[in-house]
Amino acid sequence: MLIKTKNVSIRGVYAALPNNEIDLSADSPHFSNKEIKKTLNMIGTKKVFRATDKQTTSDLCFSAAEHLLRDMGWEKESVDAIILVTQTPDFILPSTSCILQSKLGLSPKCIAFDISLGCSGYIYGMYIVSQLIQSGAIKRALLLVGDTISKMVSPSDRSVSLLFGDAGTATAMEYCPNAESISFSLGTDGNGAQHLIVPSGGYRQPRDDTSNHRLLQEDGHIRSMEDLFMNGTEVFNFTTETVPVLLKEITDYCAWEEEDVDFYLLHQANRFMLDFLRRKSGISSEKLLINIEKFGNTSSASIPLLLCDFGDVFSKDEKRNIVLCGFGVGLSWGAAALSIDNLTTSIIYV
Amino acid sequence: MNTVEFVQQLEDQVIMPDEEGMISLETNLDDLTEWDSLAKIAFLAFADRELDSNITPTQLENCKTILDLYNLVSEKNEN
Repeated sequence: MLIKTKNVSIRGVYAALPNNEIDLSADSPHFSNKEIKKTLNMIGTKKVFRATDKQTTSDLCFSAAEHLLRDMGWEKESVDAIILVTQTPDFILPSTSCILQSKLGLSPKCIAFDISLGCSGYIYGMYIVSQLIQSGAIKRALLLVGDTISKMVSPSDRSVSLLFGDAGTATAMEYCPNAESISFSLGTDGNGAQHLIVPSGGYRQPRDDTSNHRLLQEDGHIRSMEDLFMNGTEVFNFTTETVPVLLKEITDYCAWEEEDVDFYLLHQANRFMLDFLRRKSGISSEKLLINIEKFGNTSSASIPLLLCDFGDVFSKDEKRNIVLCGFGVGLSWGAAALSIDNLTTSIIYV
Repeated sequence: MNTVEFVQQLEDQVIMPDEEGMISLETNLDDLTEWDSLAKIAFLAFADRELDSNITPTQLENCKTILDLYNLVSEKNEN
């Protein structure tokens, strides 16, 4: 689907990271030094931040949102919508966004709901919030996006345990009659749902006495049915087929030439994938922002975290044309093209 | 790319064994500890980058030896 939304401005993005830094080359007792070195070289991670046992996605998003509201000077009563994108909610029900509405002290008139998406989730969240704002019903909204994927990863599964970090983010979006339009391209291929999945724990395959037993699986990795499974080759195949087309589609839709795009902010899947996509799409290395070495793959949070990490660039009073692109679990993908300036950003550790 | 070049590049860019010359066309992939999920992804990227050949993961899973890998990308190139 291709669509443009009008009258929406992105004012600020904050990211909150757990104050628990893991040096992957030193703190990965399940693997040999050789395995660690080879893996980290390829996927590009050096350290990640992992939530503690009692720290949830909503705790991270709460801190990001509270600091953002305070620093932007937004009255809590002025927030009309709070939307949380996550696949690691506090509870099966209720929606975690309802809990956050109360915890943040937002008005009872504020709408709140969750969206269950991962790596493409920031783009979907931005699209949905943009539509709400464009409708005129919502003037100000908080888009909260984050995950604690480390909690669903088998520490003995090298394909995922050296890759994922945790983060929560908050994005302040507002009605603005002079704002330039935001373009979106979104899509889905549920045929690939089984390639990135936590099989057990929902109602299709409920947890039982054995579902948390970590065993050697056919692909050579040790994990349980309650752990995250990623079929790396299938996900790679999907990404290489989908993302270059998606990037071309979104820039064509905006009538942007290559030189019109200042920066590409792609989901930080892994370094190898990002390098491959850069070559395949003919993007110069200065334009492709990468920070996976500092935070790992933070799932839905990786794009807003990238915006915060390069906040010096986007906070200036100089308009930048950017392309955002998320892809992964679902399988699901989305890209957004927009112009951004004077963005308030920060990274906090909680 | 001939078979000698293929094996050499596979060692350098995909398998990356501890010692050079560890693999040949007859090497069984299941016997190679280095042939893990990361190496398979590296091979897909290698085939695309160096040989302009798009391999599917299913085709890759059907390969038993290094020669099978070579034949796979060669067939793709001929087509």
